[in-house]
Amino acid sequence: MTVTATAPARETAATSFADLYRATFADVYAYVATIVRDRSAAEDVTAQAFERAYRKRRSFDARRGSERAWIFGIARNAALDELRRRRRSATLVAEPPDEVLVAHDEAAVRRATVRAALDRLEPRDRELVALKFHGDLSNAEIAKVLGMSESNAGTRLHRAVTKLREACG
Amino acid sequence: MNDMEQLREDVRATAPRPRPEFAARLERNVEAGFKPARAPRGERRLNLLTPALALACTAVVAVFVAAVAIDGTSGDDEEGASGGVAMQQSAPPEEESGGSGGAAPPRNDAELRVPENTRAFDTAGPSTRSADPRIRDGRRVVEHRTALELQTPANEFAETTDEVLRVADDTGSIVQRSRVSEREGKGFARFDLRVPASRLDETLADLSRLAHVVSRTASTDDITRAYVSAADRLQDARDERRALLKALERADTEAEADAIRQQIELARVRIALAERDLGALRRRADRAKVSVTVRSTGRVSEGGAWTPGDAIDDAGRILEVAAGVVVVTAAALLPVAILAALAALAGRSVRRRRREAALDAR
Repeated sequence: MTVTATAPARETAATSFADLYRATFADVYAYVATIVRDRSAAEDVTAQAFERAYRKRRSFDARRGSERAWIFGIARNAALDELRRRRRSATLVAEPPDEVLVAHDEAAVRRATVRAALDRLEPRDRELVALKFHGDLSNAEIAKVLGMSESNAGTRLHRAVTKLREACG
Repeated sequence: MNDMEQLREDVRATAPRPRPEFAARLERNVEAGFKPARAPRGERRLNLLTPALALACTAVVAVFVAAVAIDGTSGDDEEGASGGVAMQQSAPPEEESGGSGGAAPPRNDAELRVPENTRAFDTAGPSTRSADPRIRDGRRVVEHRTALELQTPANEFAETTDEVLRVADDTGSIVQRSRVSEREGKGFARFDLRVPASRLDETLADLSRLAHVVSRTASTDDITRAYVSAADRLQDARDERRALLKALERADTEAEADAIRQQIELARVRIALAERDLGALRRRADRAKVSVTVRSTGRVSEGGAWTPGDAIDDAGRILEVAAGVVVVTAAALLPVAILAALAALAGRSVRRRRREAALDAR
């Protein structure tokens, strides 16, 4: 299976930092929350990441990657720093379900299964899935964020998605 | 919708969503441009001082460079030509032996002239029975030698050589030997002077003002040992003569008296030799040897005015020295920069590994 990049969100040209923020905020938050698995920590880290990005915005070089990959790279570093600092493995707390699980609602059952399957994934696999599906990043962008080659990122992503599908049954 | 698209939709549907109040707060921060946190007072002061300190350091370096560069060209101004002759030390003149009757004295070569107040050393000198005040206080007896080389424009050569003689007269110096030659606009003169040791500094200062000093070499010979030896021999000979005179008074026979008279004559000769040696050493200590060489450059002086050409020369010299300073600084800083870069790379690598380890540790 080949995972291809589809990124409608990034089609929005981020001509200013505010535009970039609006285009990526929800996805960055989702990605950070997937890593730190704590709502208040995710908020702190997300705010910190955007502030760092704002301060460093003049150092952004389009030749080295997209703005989206750049902001996710900053968010990743901030999240890992937070993990190092806090050294805690609290699960995501008080994340309200998006829908009430009704036995006959096939979609709700399927999503609950996916959520459980995601929880069972290794942190690195979960991060790859988050970068791909929450962040809407291409394989090249994921490679940039993780500091690895594009082919390596593609291979790892393929494995992670396979594990997720297996976990979903 | 295929499986992959379905999975993608399901995963996106499970994505954690930010609380609206947090989103609104961050939106406001973004709109406000993340107002900078106020730095602590000490840090603010340092931030304000940093440009001023950098400016001051730059100014100091610039003044230093300019001073060095212009100082290096000051001699050229006098001769009106950019011969590029720098102040340099030449080999000292050939040394004479340390004095008759004594071992070779220790030499004490100085790169530059020895100041007046260091001629008498406070260290204890050799023991002596002599009553000579030079060595009675344990002071050293030294002979000074100086070689001075002057360079002058061709049209000032004769005047400069005349001035050398005038300085010699004014300072009570003796001109032991002089030689002046001038041919096809190029002149050479050599003066061997014996300058009173007490006026050596004054004499050298006067001579140095006559023309551009190409080199000035000073050395001192410590002749204390030879001096003490001669003084002791003189004292011994005098004591011996005194004793012989007393013995002569007590002589009983004419033959005995003749033998003592012969010994008295020998003692008298020894006294004369010792006095001669001592006198020579005294003269060496009292009169410094100054050798003055005057050369003409073959160029004609253009006068003392600072011309645009001089300004261009000075500017070129300043740039030359500044470039030298930059090269030397770069050479000194390069290893530091390499180490700093390596440390930064290592630090980055360690930080990255630690971050990754934080993810694995979950």
